[in-house]
Amino acid sequence: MNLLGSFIFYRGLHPRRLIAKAGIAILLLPLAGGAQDSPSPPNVRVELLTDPETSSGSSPSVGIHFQLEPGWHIYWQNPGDSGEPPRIEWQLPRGYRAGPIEWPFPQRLEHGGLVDYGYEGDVLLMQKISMPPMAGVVRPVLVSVQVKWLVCREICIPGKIHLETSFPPVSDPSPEAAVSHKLFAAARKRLPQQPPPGAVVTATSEKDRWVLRLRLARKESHAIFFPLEPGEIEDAAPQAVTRVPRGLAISLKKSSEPLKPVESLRGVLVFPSGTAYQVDAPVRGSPRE
Amino acid sequence: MRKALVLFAAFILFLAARLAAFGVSVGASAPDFTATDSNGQTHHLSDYRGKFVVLEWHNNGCPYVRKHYGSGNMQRLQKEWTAKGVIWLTVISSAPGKQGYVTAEQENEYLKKMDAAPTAALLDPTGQVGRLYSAKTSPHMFIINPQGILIYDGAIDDHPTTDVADIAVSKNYVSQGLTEAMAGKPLSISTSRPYGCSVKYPD
Repeated sequence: MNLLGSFIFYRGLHPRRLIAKAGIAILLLPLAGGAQDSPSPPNVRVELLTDPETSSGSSPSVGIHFQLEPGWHIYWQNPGDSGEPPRIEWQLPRGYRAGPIEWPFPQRLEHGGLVDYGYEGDVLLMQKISMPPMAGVVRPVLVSVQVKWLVCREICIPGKIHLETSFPPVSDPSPEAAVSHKLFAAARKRLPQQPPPGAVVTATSEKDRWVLRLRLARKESHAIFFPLEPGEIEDAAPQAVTRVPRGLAISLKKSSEPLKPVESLRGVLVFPSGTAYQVDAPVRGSPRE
Repeated sequence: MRKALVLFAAFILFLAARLAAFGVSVGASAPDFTATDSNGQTHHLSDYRGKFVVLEWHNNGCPYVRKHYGSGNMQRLQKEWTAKGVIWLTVISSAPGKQGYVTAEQENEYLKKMDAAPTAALLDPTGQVGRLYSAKTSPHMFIINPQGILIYDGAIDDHPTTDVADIAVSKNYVSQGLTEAMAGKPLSISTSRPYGCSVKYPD
Protein backbone atom coordinates (compact mmCIF):
# COMPACT_ATOMS: atom_id res chain seq x y z
CA MET A 1 0.00 0.00 0.00
CA ASN A 2 1.57 3.22 -1.11
CA LEU A 3 0.93 6.36 0.81
CA LEU A 4 1.86 9.41 -1.17
CA GLY A 5 2.71 12.71 0.46
CA SER A 6 0.26 15.47 -0.12
CA PHE A 7 1.44 19.01 -0.40
CA ILE A 8 -0.48 22.12 0.33
CA PHE A 9 1.08 25.22 -1.14
CA TYR A 10 0.34 28.78 -0.45
CA ARG A 11 2.06 31.43 -2.44
CA GLY A 12 1.53 35.07 -1.81
CA LEU A 13 2.77 37.13 -4.71
CA HIS A 14 0.47 40.11 -4.43
CA PRO A 15 2.46 42.71 -6.29
CA ARG A 16 2.07 45.36 -3.63
CA ARG A 17 2.70 43.14 -0.71
CA LEU A 18 5.38 40.63 -1.33
CA ILE A 19 5.00 38.95 1.94
CA ALA A 20 7.73 36.96 3.49
CA LYS A 21 6.03 33.62 3.28
CA ALA A 22 6.33 31.82 0.00
CA GLY A 23 5.24 28.30 0.67
CA ILE A 24 4.06 25.98 3.34
CA ALA A 25 4.13 22.26 3.03
CA ILE A 26 2.50 19.75 5.27
CA LEU A 27 3.89 16.35 4.63
CA LEU A 28 2.12 13.11 5.24
CA LEU A 29 4.42 10.09 5.16
CA PRO A 30 6.49 10.66 2.03
CA LEU A 31 8.04 7.19 2.20
CA ALA A 32 7.63 5.28 -1.01
CA GLY A 33 7.11 1.58 -1.44
CA GLY A 34 6.38 -1.34 0.77
CA ALA A 35 3.91 -1.93 3.53
CA GLN A 36 3.76 0.93 5.95
CA ASP A 37 2.48 1.59 9.43
CA SER A 38 -0.68 3.61 9.90
CA PRO A 39 -0.25 7.22 8.79
CA SER A 40 1.30 9.54 11.36
CA PRO A 41 0.17 13.14 11.80
CA PRO A 42 2.20 15.82 10.05
CA ASN A 43 5.44 16.15 11.96
CA VAL A 44 7.09 19.10 10.27
CA ARG A 45 6.02 22.25 8.47
CA VAL A 46 8.57 23.75 6.11
CA GLU A 47 8.35 27.24 4.65
CA LEU A 48 10.58 29.67 2.82
CA LEU A 49 10.88 33.10 4.39
CA THR A 50 12.65 36.29 3.44
CA ASP A 51 13.71 39.02 5.83
CA PRO A 52 12.09 42.24 4.66
CA GLU A 53 14.44 44.33 6.78
CA THR A 54 17.38 43.21 4.67
CA SER A 55 15.68 44.34 1.49
CA SER A 56 17.90 47.33 0.91
CA GLY A 57 21.18 45.52 1.48
CA SER A 58 23.36 43.87 -1.15
CA SER A 59 22.73 40.37 0.20
CA PRO A 60 19.21 40.01 1.53
CA SER A 61 18.49 37.13 3.89
CA VAL A 62 16.30 34.18 3.15
CA GLY A 63 15.61 31.23 5.36
CA ILE A 64 14.06 27.80 5.50
CA HIS A 65 11.79 27.62 8.53
CA PHE A 66 11.17 24.20 10.07
CA GLN A 67 8.41 23.85 12.64
CA LEU A 68 8.53 20.46 14.31
CA GLU A 69 5.92 18.56 16.25
CA PRO A 70 6.94 17.67 19.83
CA GLY A 71 9.64 15.02 20.02
CA TRP A 72 10.60 15.26 16.34
CA HIS A 73 13.95 16.67 15.32
CA ILE A 74 16.06 17.51 12.31
CA TYR A 75 19.84 17.56 12.26
CA TRP A 76 22.72 20.00 12.54
CA GLN A 77 25.50 20.16 9.96
CA ASN A 78 27.29 17.43 11.90
CA PRO A 79 24.37 15.18 12.80
CA GLY A 80 26.30 13.11 15.39
CA ASP A 81 25.88 9.37 15.75
CA SER A 82 23.11 9.05 13.18
CA GLY A 83 20.86 11.09 10.92
CA GLU A 84 21.47 13.46 8.04
CA PRO A 85 21.49 17.28 7.90
CA PRO A 86 18.97 19.09 5.69
CA ARG A 87 20.12 19.86 2.15
CA ILE A 88 19.15 23.15 0.58
CA GLU A 89 19.69 23.64 -3.16
CA TRP A 90 18.83 26.94 -4.76
CA GLN A 91 17.88 27.54 -8.36
CA LEU A 92 18.96 31.12 -8.92
CA PRO A 93 19.17 33.39 -11.91
CA ARG A 94 22.58 34.04 -13.37
CA GLY A 95 24.80 36.14 -11.17
CA TYR A 96 22.89 35.42 -7.96
CA ARG A 97 24.74 33.46 -5.32
CA ALA A 98 23.55 31.81 -2.13
CA GLY A 99 25.93 32.10 0.79
CA PRO A 100 26.55 29.28 3.26
CA ILE A 101 23.82 28.11 5.63
CA GLU A 102 24.00 29.99 8.91
CA TRP A 103 23.43 27.23 11.48
CA PRO A 104 21.98 28.26 14.84
CA PHE A 105 23.64 26.35 17.68
CA PRO A 106 22.14 22.87 18.04
CA GLN A 107 20.89 20.76 20.90
CA ARG A 108 22.34 17.51 22.16
CA LEU A 109 19.72 14.79 21.51
CA GLU A 110 20.22 11.58 23.47
CA HIS A 111 18.43 8.32 22.74
CA GLY A 112 19.26 4.70 23.54
CA GLY A 113 22.87 5.48 24.38
CA LEU A 114 23.53 7.34 21.15
CA VAL A 115 23.79 11.11 20.73
CA ASP A 116 22.79 13.23 17.77
CA TYR A 117 23.09 16.98 17.21
CA GLY A 118 20.02 18.77 15.93
CA TYR A 119 16.97 20.85 16.52
CA GLU A 120 13.62 20.32 18.14
CA GLY A 121 10.74 22.76 18.06
CA ASP A 122 11.54 25.54 15.67
CA VAL A 123 14.57 26.38 13.59
CA LEU A 124 15.30 28.87 10.82
CA LEU A 125 18.24 28.08 8.56
CA MET A 126 19.29 31.39 7.03
CA GLN A 127 21.34 32.22 3.97
CA LYS A 128 22.30 35.48 2.32
CA ILE A 129 21.69 35.69 -1.40
CA SER A 130 23.91 38.15 -3.19
CA MET A 131 22.76 39.84 -6.34
CA PRO A 132 24.85 40.89 -9.30
CA PRO A 133 25.57 44.61 -9.62
CA MET A 134 22.59 46.28 -11.23
CA ALA A 135 22.07 49.71 -12.68
CA GLY A 136 18.85 51.41 -11.71
CA VAL A 137 15.92 49.82 -9.95
CA VAL A 138 16.29 46.23 -8.79
CA ARG A 139 13.66 44.09 -10.49
CA PRO A 140 12.27 41.20 -8.52
CA VAL A 141 13.01 37.70 -9.79
CA LEU A 142 11.65 34.33 -8.85
CA VAL A 143 14.07 32.16 -6.90
CA SER A 144 13.31 28.58 -6.06
CA VAL A 145 14.77 26.04 -3.72
CA GLN A 146 14.70 22.28 -3.25
CA VAL A 147 14.87 21.31 0.43
CA LYS A 148 15.48 17.73 1.54
CA TRP A 149 15.59 16.64 5.18
CA LEU A 150 15.37 13.77 7.58
CA VAL A 151 12.98 14.21 10.49
CA CYS A 152 13.10 11.67 13.31
CA ARG A 153 11.58 10.72 16.58
CA GLU A 154 11.55 6.98 17.27
CA ILE A 155 11.67 6.47 13.51
CA CYS A 156 13.00 8.60 10.69
CA ILE A 157 11.08 10.00 7.75
CA PRO A 158 12.81 11.66 4.81
CA GLY A 159 11.03 14.64 3.27
CA LYS A 160 11.47 17.10 0.47
CA ILE A 161 9.81 20.14 -0.92
CA HIS A 162 10.19 22.66 -3.71
CA LEU A 163 9.51 26.27 -2.72
CA GLU A 164 9.65 29.62 -4.47
CA THR A 165 9.67 33.24 -3.60
CA SER A 166 10.04 36.60 -5.20
CA PHE A 167 13.42 38.10 -4.49
CA PRO A 168 14.69 40.45 -3.17
CA PRO A 169 12.15 40.98 -0.42
CA VAL A 170 10.63 44.42 -0.35
CA SER A 171 10.39 46.60 2.67
CA ASP A 172 7.00 45.70 4.08
CA PRO A 173 5.18 47.22 7.05
CA SER A 174 2.63 44.40 7.35
CA PRO A 175 2.26 42.43 10.60
CA GLU A 176 3.22 39.26 8.76
CA ALA A 177 6.49 40.79 7.66
CA ALA A 178 7.15 41.84 11.24
CA VAL A 179 6.64 38.27 12.40
CA SER A 180 9.01 37.09 9.73
CA HIS A 181 11.65 39.59 10.73
CA LYS A 182 11.32 38.53 14.36
CA LEU A 183 12.10 34.95 13.35
CA PHE A 184 15.26 36.12 11.59
CA ALA A 185 16.28 38.25 14.57
CA ALA A 186 15.77 35.32 16.95
CA ALA A 187 17.75 32.97 14.70
CA ARG A 188 20.61 35.47 14.47
CA LYS A 189 20.82 35.50 18.27
CA ARG A 190 21.43 31.74 18.14
CA LEU A 191 24.31 31.94 15.70
CA PRO A 192 27.70 31.07 17.21
CA GLN A 193 29.90 34.13 17.56
CA GLN A 194 33.63 34.65 17.48
CA PRO A 195 34.79 34.52 21.11
CA PRO A 196 35.16 38.05 22.48
CA PRO A 197 38.57 39.47 23.36
CA GLY A 198 39.62 37.97 26.65
CA ALA A 199 38.09 34.60 25.85
CA VAL A 200 40.64 32.03 24.73
CA VAL A 201 40.10 28.39 23.87
CA THR A 202 42.99 25.93 23.70
CA ALA A 203 42.98 22.20 23.01
CA THR A 204 45.30 19.47 24.14
CA SER A 205 45.52 15.76 23.45
CA GLU A 206 45.64 13.77 26.68
CA LYS A 207 45.71 9.99 26.21
CA ASP A 208 42.18 8.96 25.19
CA ARG A 209 40.70 12.42 25.63
CA TRP A 210 40.78 15.85 24.04
CA VAL A 211 40.73 18.63 26.61
CA LEU A 212 39.41 22.08 25.77
CA ARG A 213 40.48 24.78 28.16
CA LEU A 214 38.36 27.90 28.09
CA ARG A 215 39.60 31.13 29.54
CA LEU A 216 36.49 33.27 29.72
CA ALA A 217 35.84 36.96 30.13
CA ARG A 218 32.83 36.25 32.32
CA LYS A 219 31.81 33.50 34.69
CA GLU A 220 30.13 30.47 33.16
CA SER A 221 29.10 27.38 35.08
CA HIS A 222 28.96 24.94 32.20
CA ALA A 223 29.46 24.48 28.48
CA ILE A 224 28.68 21.89 25.83
CA PHE A 225 30.94 21.30 22.82
CA PHE A 226 29.49 20.41 19.42
CA PRO A 227 32.19 19.24 16.99
CA LEU A 228 32.02 20.37 13.39
CA GLU A 229 33.75 17.27 12.09
CA PRO A 230 32.34 13.79 12.58
CA GLY A 231 34.61 11.07 13.90
CA GLU A 232 36.73 13.19 16.25
CA ILE A 233 34.98 12.62 19.54
CA GLU A 234 32.71 9.90 20.90
CA ASP A 235 29.48 11.83 20.56
CA ALA A 236 27.68 9.70 23.13
CA ALA A 237 30.36 9.94 25.83
CA PRO A 238 29.54 12.44 28.58
CA GLN A 239 31.56 15.64 28.39
CA ALA A 240 33.27 16.25 31.75
CA VAL A 241 33.21 19.95 32.58
CA THR A 242 35.27 21.29 35.47
CA ARG A 243 35.83 24.79 36.77
CA VAL A 244 39.39 25.96 36.49
CA PRO A 245 40.89 29.32 37.39
CA ARG A 246 39.40 31.94 35.05
CA GLY A 247 37.25 29.48 33.18
CA LEU A 248 36.33 25.90 32.39
CA ALA A 249 37.94 22.70 31.17
CA ILE A 250 35.95 20.26 29.04
CA SER A 251 37.22 16.72 28.65
CA LEU A 252 35.99 14.94 25.50
CA LYS A 253 36.43 11.24 24.81
CA LYS A 254 38.35 10.68 21.58
CA SER A 255 36.65 8.68 18.89
CA SER A 256 37.78 5.05 18.87
CA GLU A 257 37.51 5.15 15.07
CA PRO A 258 39.03 8.47 14.00
CA LEU A 259 38.50 9.25 10.32
CA LYS A 260 41.64 11.34 9.93
CA PRO A 261 44.30 12.94 12.13
CA VAL A 262 42.94 15.74 14.27
CA GLU A 263 45.01 18.90 13.98
CA SER A 264 42.50 21.24 15.49
CA LEU A 265 39.18 20.94 17.22
CA ARG A 266 36.57 22.97 15.41
CA GLY A 267 33.03 23.38 16.55
CA VAL A 268 30.65 25.31 18.71
CA LEU A 269 30.65 25.88 22.48
CA VAL A 270 27.24 26.55 23.99
CA PHE A 271 26.77 28.07 27.44
CA PRO A 272 23.65 27.85 29.66
CA SER A 273 22.97 31.55 29.02
CA GLY A 274 22.35 30.75 25.36
CA THR A 275 25.61 32.32 24.20
CA ALA A 276 27.53 30.27 21.69
CA TYR A 277 31.11 30.60 20.50
CA GLN A 278 32.79 29.32 17.36
CA VAL A 279 35.85 27.30 18.27
CA ASP A 280 38.92 26.53 16.18
CA ALA A 281 41.61 25.36 18.57
CA PRO A 282 44.82 23.76 17.27
CA VAL A 283 45.59 20.65 19.28
CA ARG A 284 48.82 20.56 21.25
CA GLY A 285 50.32 17.66 23.14
CA SER A 286 49.55 17.22 26.77
CA PRO A 287 51.01 19.98 28.95
CA ARG A 288 52.82 17.25 30.82
CA GLU A 289 54.52 15.81 27.73
CA MET B 1 56.31 4.53 48.28
CA ARG B 2 57.75 3.49 44.93
CA LYS B 3 56.19 0.02 45.21
CA ALA B 4 52.79 1.64 45.81
CA LEU B 5 53.29 3.81 42.74
CA VAL B 6 54.23 0.81 40.57
CA LEU B 7 51.20 -1.11 41.81
CA PHE B 8 49.01 1.91 41.17
CA ALA B 9 50.38 2.29 37.63
CA ALA B 10 49.77 -1.40 36.98
CA PHE B 11 46.22 -1.03 38.22
CA ILE B 12 45.61 1.93 35.90
CA LEU B 13 47.01 0.00 32.95
CA PHE B 14 44.76 -2.93 33.83
CA LEU B 15 41.73 -0.64 33.92
CA ALA B 16 42.72 0.95 30.61
CA ALA B 17 43.01 -2.48 29.01
CA ARG B 18 39.57 -3.42 30.32
CA LEU B 19 38.08 -0.21 28.97
CA ALA B 20 39.76 -0.77 25.63
CA ALA B 21 37.94 -4.10 25.43
CA PHE B 22 34.77 -2.15 24.69
CA GLY B 23 34.42 -0.57 21.30
CA VAL B 24 36.27 -1.70 18.24
CA SER B 25 39.25 -0.45 16.35
CA VAL B 26 40.28 -1.11 12.76
CA GLY B 27 43.55 -3.00 12.84
CA ALA B 28 42.73 -4.71 16.13
CA SER B 29 41.11 -8.09 16.70
CA ALA B 30 37.38 -8.02 16.10
CA PRO B 31 35.68 -8.96 19.36
CA ASP B 32 34.20 -12.44 19.45
CA PHE B 33 30.46 -12.71 20.00
CA THR B 34 27.74 -15.31 20.36
CA ALA B 35 24.36 -14.78 18.77
CA THR B 36 21.36 -16.77 17.58
CA ASP B 37 20.07 -16.52 14.05
CA SER B 38 16.53 -16.55 12.69
CA ASN B 39 16.66 -20.35 12.39
CA GLY B 40 17.64 -20.84 16.01
CA GLN B 41 21.29 -21.62 15.19
CA THR B 42 24.04 -20.22 17.39
CA HIS B 43 26.96 -18.41 15.78
CA HIS B 44 30.30 -17.28 17.20
CA LEU B 45 32.48 -14.94 15.21
CA SER B 46 35.35 -17.30 16.01
CA ASP B 47 33.53 -20.04 14.05
CA TYR B 48 34.54 -18.13 10.92
CA ARG B 49 38.26 -17.77 11.46
CA GLY B 50 39.81 -18.41 8.05
CA LYS B 51 37.08 -16.55 6.15
CA PHE B 52 36.16 -12.95 5.46
CA VAL B 53 33.15 -11.87 7.49
CA VAL B 54 30.83 -8.94 6.78
CA LEU B 55 28.57 -7.63 9.55
CA GLU B 56 25.56 -5.64 8.31
CA TRP B 57 23.48 -3.79 10.90
CA HIS B 58 19.86 -3.80 9.78
CA ASN B 59 16.45 -2.27 10.55
CA ASN B 60 13.80 -3.05 7.95
CA GLY B 61 11.85 0.16 8.62
CA CYS B 62 14.73 2.60 8.27
CA PRO B 63 14.63 4.60 5.01
CA TYR B 64 18.39 4.18 4.53
CA VAL B 65 18.04 0.39 4.75
CA ARG B 66 15.03 0.51 2.45
CA LYS B 67 17.14 2.40 -0.07
CA HIS B 68 19.49 -0.57 -0.29
CA TYR B 69 16.90 -3.33 -0.05
CA GLY B 70 14.16 -1.73 -2.12
CA SER B 71 16.64 -1.28 -4.95
CA GLY B 72 18.04 -4.81 -4.59
CA ASN B 73 21.47 -3.39 -3.90
CA MET B 74 22.07 -5.15 -0.57
CA GLN B 75 20.81 -8.48 -1.87
CA ARG B 76 23.16 -8.20 -4.87
CA LEU B 77 26.10 -7.58 -2.56
CA GLN B 78 25.13 -10.49 -0.34
CA LYS B 79 24.92 -12.86 -3.30
CA GLU B 80 28.08 -11.62 -4.97
CA TRP B 81 30.24 -11.90 -1.88
CA THR B 82 28.83 -15.06 -0.31
CA ALA B 83 29.47 -16.71 -3.69
CA LYS B 84 33.13 -15.74 -3.17
CA GLY B 85 33.24 -17.40 0.23
CA VAL B 86 32.49 -14.39 2.42
CA ILE B 87 30.35 -15.00 5.52
CA TRP B 88 27.67 -12.29 5.50
CA LEU B 89 25.89 -11.77 8.80
CA THR B 90 22.93 -9.41 9.00
CA VAL B 91 22.53 -8.22 12.60
CA ILE B 92 19.31 -6.82 14.05
CA SER B 93 19.87 -5.03 17.35
CA SER B 94 16.46 -3.34 17.65
CA ALA B 95 14.93 -3.77 21.11
CA PRO B 96 11.44 -5.26 21.39
CA GLY B 97 8.82 -2.62 20.61
CA LYS B 98 11.24 -0.51 18.58
CA GLN B 99 11.47 -0.09 14.84
CA GLY B 100 13.21 -3.00 13.14
CA TYR B 101 12.57 -5.52 15.91
CA VAL B 102 11.53 -8.85 14.39
CA THR B 103 10.80 -12.32 15.61
CA ALA B 104 12.66 -15.18 13.95
CA GLU B 105 9.58 -15.97 11.89
CA GLN B 106 9.15 -12.39 10.75
CA GLU B 107 12.80 -12.16 9.78
CA ASN B 108 12.59 -15.33 7.72
CA GLU B 109 9.51 -13.97 5.95
CA TYR B 110 11.36 -10.74 5.26
CA LEU B 111 14.42 -12.52 3.91
CA LYS B 112 12.23 -14.55 1.60
CA LYS B 113 10.16 -11.59 0.44
CA MET B 114 13.27 -9.52 -0.18
CA ASP B 115 15.16 -12.39 -1.79
CA ALA B 116 17.97 -11.56 0.62
CA ALA B 117 20.94 -13.87 0.86
CA PRO B 118 22.97 -13.35 4.01
CA THR B 119 24.72 -16.39 5.43
CA ALA B 120 22.54 -15.79 8.50
CA ALA B 121 20.43 -13.08 10.14
CA LEU B 122 21.44 -12.68 13.77
CA LEU B 123 18.79 -11.56 16.24
CA ASP B 124 20.29 -9.26 18.85
CA PRO B 125 17.32 -7.71 20.70
CA THR B 126 19.34 -7.01 23.85
CA GLY B 127 21.84 -5.07 21.73
CA GLN B 128 24.82 -6.88 23.19
CA VAL B 129 26.47 -7.51 19.82
CA GLY B 130 25.64 -3.99 18.67
CA ARG B 131 27.20 -2.41 21.74
CA LEU B 132 30.24 -4.65 21.47
CA TYR B 133 30.85 -3.22 18.01
CA SER B 134 29.59 0.28 18.80
CA ALA B 135 27.12 -0.14 15.96
CA LYS B 136 25.51 3.26 15.56
CA THR B 137 23.36 3.21 12.46
CA SER B 138 21.48 0.97 10.11
CA PRO B 139 23.17 0.21 7.88
CA HIS B 140 26.59 0.11 9.60
CA MET B 141 29.11 -2.21 7.95
CA PHE B 142 32.14 -4.09 9.27
CA ILE B 143 34.61 -6.33 7.48
CA ILE B 144 36.72 -8.86 9.38
CA ASN B 145 39.56 -10.66 7.66
CA PRO B 146 40.37 -14.39 7.89
CA GLN B 147 42.83 -13.67 10.70
CA GLY B 148 40.04 -12.16 12.78
CA ILE B 149 41.24 -8.56 12.38
CA LEU B 150 38.73 -5.77 11.82
CA ILE B 151 39.66 -4.15 8.52
CA TYR B 152 36.64 -1.95 7.80
CA ASP B 153 34.19 -0.05 10.02
CA GLY B 154 31.77 2.45 8.57
CA ALA B 155 29.26 3.34 5.91
CA ILE B 156 28.12 1.09 3.12
CA ASP B 157 29.03 3.71 0.51
CA ASP B 158 29.91 7.33 -0.04
CA HIS B 159 26.43 8.77 -0.57
CA PRO B 160 24.84 9.21 2.87
CA THR B 161 21.31 9.71 1.58
CA THR B 162 17.99 7.90 1.26
CA ASP B 163 17.93 8.36 -2.53
CA VAL B 164 17.97 5.13 -4.52
CA ALA B 165 19.29 7.12 -7.48
CA ASP B 166 22.55 7.65 -5.61
CA ILE B 167 23.42 3.95 -5.55
CA ALA B 168 24.46 3.86 -9.19
CA VAL B 169 26.99 6.64 -8.62
CA SER B 170 28.18 5.55 -5.20
CA LYS B 171 31.52 4.04 -4.32
CA ASN B 172 30.62 0.91 -2.34
CA TYR B 173 33.10 0.71 0.54
CA VAL B 174 32.28 -2.93 1.30
CA SER B 175 32.90 -4.19 -2.21
CA GLN B 176 35.99 -2.06 -2.53
CA GLY B 177 37.34 -3.26 0.81
CA LEU B 178 36.73 -6.93 0.11
CA THR B 179 38.25 -6.65 -3.38
CA GLU B 180 41.38 -5.00 -2.02
CA ALA B 181 41.73 -7.37 0.92
CA MET B 182 41.29 -10.45 -1.25
CA ALA B 183 44.06 -9.12 -3.50
CA GLY B 184 46.28 -8.85 -0.45
CA LYS B 185 46.26 -5.05 -0.48
CA PRO B 186 45.64 -2.70 2.42
CA LEU B 187 42.26 -1.00 2.28
CA SER B 188 42.31 2.45 0.77
CA ILE B 189 39.34 3.34 2.94
CA SER B 190 39.15 1.46 6.23
CA THR B 191 36.88 3.81 8.15
CA SER B 192 34.12 6.18 7.18
CA ARG B 193 31.26 7.83 8.97
CA PRO B 194 28.44 5.27 9.03
CA TYR B 195 25.14 6.74 7.86
CA GLY B 196 21.57 5.74 8.57
CA CYS B 197 18.98 5.67 11.32
CA SER B 198 20.21 5.12 14.85
CA VAL B 199 20.30 1.52 16.07
CA LYS B 200 17.26 1.12 18.31
CA TYR B 201 18.90 -0.08 21.52
CA PRO B 202 16.84 -0.54 24.68
CA ASP B 203 16.39 2.69 26.65
